[in-house]
Amino acid sequence: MEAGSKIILDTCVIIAASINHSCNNIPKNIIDKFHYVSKSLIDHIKNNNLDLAYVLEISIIKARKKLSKIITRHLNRISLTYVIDKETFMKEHTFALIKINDSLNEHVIGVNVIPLGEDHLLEIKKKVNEFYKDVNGIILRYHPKNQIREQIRLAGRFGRFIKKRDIKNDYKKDFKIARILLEKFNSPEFDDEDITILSQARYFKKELNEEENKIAASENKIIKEREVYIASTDYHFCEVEVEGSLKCLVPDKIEERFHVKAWKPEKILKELLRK
Amino acid sequence: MLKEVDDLKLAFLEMERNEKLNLTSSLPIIDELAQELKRFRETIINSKLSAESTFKEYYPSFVISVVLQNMKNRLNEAEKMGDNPIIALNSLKVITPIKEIISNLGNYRNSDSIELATNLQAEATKNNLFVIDSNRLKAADSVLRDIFSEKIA
Repeated sequence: MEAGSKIILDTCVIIAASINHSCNNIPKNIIDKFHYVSKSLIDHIKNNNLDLAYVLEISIIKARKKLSKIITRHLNRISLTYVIDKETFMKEHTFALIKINDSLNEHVIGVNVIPLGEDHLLEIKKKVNEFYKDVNGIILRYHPKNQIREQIRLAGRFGRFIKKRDIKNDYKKDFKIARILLEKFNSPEFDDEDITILSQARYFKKELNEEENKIAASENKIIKEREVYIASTDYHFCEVEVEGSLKCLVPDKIEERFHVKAWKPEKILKELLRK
Repeated sequence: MLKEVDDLKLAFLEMERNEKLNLTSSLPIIDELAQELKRFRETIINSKLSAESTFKEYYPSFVISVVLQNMKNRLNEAEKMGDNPIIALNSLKVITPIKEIISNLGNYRNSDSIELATNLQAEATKNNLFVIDSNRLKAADSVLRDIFSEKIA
């Protein structure tokens, strides 16, 4: 990774890095499945004083809201499963939420925080919104019904001999990915904050390009391209954990359209370690 | 409790203005508030409210107690550490969120109370008023003691 590259930490990464709490009197611990990879990336950046990580203030606000929801959900689940006296229960969960919030506060200290206010992103946000509509359109084409219809259409007058079951089997994996992505794009959790993150990444990339061009023009030399990364585990940015030709559709399209790399934390960490 | 919060704000404003520590005007209010919050927690623990509704009240009141305990610790050491008027300025930053939470306490359906408390914790952390340290919290009420003394390394 070239000096001057930038990494924007998605909300899910700062949340995951913060959630790992073992309860004393409740059998179930609270841990995010991406905790270790997310924390390792943030710790590596901070321990090595790499001034390249950014987090949007709006992401921190969203993370705080989400953390309290996660703990409340955990509380509800536990209260249905185990018989624990109310006071112990309150103490454990209060302690858990305090510690997890403390961990979140700690993780964002030393990371560059991009304050609220998006006037500079308005134009890019329009493009990002259009982009997601386009990607949604591509995914819709892989919907089982549309695939079958398309195969039959392509087969022309022989279409009636095509067995729908065979087509389904051919595209099974992509059907699954398409369903996951469509669910993701239509979920209320995919919101303006996600659009803002990608827009900010694009804004950074444009800034870096302009800077590089200026230096190159004035000093007449070739500079190695600096990259902008989004560290995320969410499928509206990075690859899906299911094999299939659509696995990397979203990050590939993001890179193609905005020249931003949307990678998982472990992949970014590997890149940092390699350099 | 809202009156105590207003009184505490006046005490800190005066300390900041005069650049002089006034423990007699601030510490008794903090103690009184802490006691009332402790009683409040006992009441809701013994109530028939669901775990979720109880948590929406318990957690914010607990976060305020931690902040108040931090304020108390710093006030007690302020003379020695030359912490005034910084302690007054820092405390004034968290008084408004504390008041907002207290005015919401007792409204069991209020889903924002946890979020308000989380924001208070962040603001208090920024102002060095949320140190989770078992030694510094020795004098806290039994709930605080139980939780923190057991688990903080």
